[in-house]
Amino acid sequence: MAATTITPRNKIRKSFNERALSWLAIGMFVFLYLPIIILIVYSFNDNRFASVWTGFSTRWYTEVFNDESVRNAFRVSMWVAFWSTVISTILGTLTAIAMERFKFWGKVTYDAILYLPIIIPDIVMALSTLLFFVILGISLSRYTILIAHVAFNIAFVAIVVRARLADMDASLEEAAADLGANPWETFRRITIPLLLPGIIAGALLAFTLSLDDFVITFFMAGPGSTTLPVLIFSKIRFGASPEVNVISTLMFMGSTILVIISLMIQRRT
Amino acid sequence: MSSAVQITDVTKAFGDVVAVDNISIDIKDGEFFSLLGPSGCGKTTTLRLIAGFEQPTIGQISIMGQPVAGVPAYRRPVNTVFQSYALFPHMTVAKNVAFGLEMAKVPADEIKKRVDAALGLVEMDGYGERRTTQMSGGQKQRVALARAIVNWPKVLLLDEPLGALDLKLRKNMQLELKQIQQELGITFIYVTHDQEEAITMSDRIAVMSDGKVQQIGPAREIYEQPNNRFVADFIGETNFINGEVIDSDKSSATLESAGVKLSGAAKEKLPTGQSATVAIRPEKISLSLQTGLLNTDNRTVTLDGTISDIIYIGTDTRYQVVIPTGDKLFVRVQNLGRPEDVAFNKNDKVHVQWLIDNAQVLAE
Repeated sequence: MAATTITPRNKIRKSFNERALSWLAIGMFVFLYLPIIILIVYSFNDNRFASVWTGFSTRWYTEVFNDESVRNAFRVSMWVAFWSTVISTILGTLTAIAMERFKFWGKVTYDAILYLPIIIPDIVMALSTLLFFVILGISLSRYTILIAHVAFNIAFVAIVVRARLADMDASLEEAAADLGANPWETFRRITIPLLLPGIIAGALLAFTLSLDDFVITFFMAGPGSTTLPVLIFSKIRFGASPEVNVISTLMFMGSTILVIISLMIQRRT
Repeated sequence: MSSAVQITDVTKAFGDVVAVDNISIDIKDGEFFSLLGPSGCGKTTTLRLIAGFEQPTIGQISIMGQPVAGVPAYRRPVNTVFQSYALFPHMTVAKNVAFGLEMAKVPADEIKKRVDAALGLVEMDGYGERRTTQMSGGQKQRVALARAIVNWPKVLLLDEPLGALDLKLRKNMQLELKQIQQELGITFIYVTHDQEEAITMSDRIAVMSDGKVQQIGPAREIYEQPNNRFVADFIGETNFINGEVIDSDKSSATLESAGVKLSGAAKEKLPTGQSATVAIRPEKISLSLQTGLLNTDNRTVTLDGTISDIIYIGTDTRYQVVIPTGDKLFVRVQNLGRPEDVAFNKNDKVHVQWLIDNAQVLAE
């Protein structure tokens, strides 16, 4: 007989295992997301003290939008995120192409070193970069933040683009050359369009990482070049306030949207 | 006839690995030429050298009389049909086919005309706006062909283009490719490991192994008069009997094997005492119960044999016959008789005969 009979005992055990697994999953989600939900809920709290709920209000949102220090930090954050994304996307893409398509002296070593920023602790990156700028006598500003962000973002962009490149059939580029396309035309009409989903995903990742970074930015931030995460940190030192909840909520929303877009682009292709 | 592609003393090495070892091939204009050999024999590398994806380590290649050393792939008057098709996934069929013409700055209205004509030729009219990603292997194959021939190349290079198709489709495409080639009159250089494909399609074949050309010639010549044991073995089925040369002139030779004298055609005079092989195709051997099915003049070899195995394969019957040298020969006999007829039974004593001209004596 082909069909297998499920004995009641089997059935019970299976459903018990399944139920245990789903409870574990629910527990994990609660653990991960409950704090964020609380944060979002309390950003609408009317009370000045962040931990006591008194009623629903959007007044802290209004306050945050009118706070000059927040607006300034937002501008710095966006400026750093934008330019570090642009620069690291270009450099990271070119790096990925070089690593995947060309042979050059010291390639293996370079390959290993390239991904170091992903592996080494942020604090080590931060300290070493700070030391580097101090030794060179460069004063800290938004430009030093930018340089530090580009440094770690290149690695992430290169990884994402390289994965895409590795999937790409190398004979496509040969086919273009065979049909009379010179190297520049091949790059423009074949390589770039086919890599585009990877490049966009890499850029969104870079943007998110830059926007979220605290440790490295904190060490690089000069006077007047505070980013949002650094601002939150300095505000929290005077006690948790609904204002901090609002900024954090907005940042969470922004990052989430970017990550979802990035995932959707990667999934679609 | 002038040459379409001339390969002169070309060697290509990748590091220590010699992929193509001092080959010279002269491919005539308008010819259907096949590079045939097992995988790793250097046939694809040869094609890539002509296309310009690789540069020879030593030697020279000319296309339509022009030396192409240092000329990049995108400036060569050849187009390639890739094994993986290599269709651009982000473009429609029409855009794929138009790519080469756009690169050549052909006016838009002419591009449209030529793309339509090319798609018509490969029977893909109406597919222009489709995406290539959702097509079957056979359809992709046709688009890849259209994309290459739309440029009116002097030489079309095809790298195992039918390798991924199922048997029936492959047979149809073989005929179509041959028709298209004759219609357009362009030179086809066709890489394949399938000897049957090469034999049915080609005007001439170069058989390759270990980076070397083993023999160049029309299919019939390669099959009937192989240069060496590799060619005889790779193309079709062959019986080999090893022996020692006892007599030879410039067109024939006689071997002795375990006291038995065997004669066959030879391409040159072989020195006496050299070890050599007689190669004889299974369908060239005749069997009979009585003496002499063939004329028993001195142009035949006649041996005693015993049937040791019988395999019925529909069109023919394959007999395994043990001859006095101890070798087992395969013999194909066409099933001409009535359905119930059985020509020979196991352990029958038979006469084994072949024409001397049909056996080849090959030096080791």
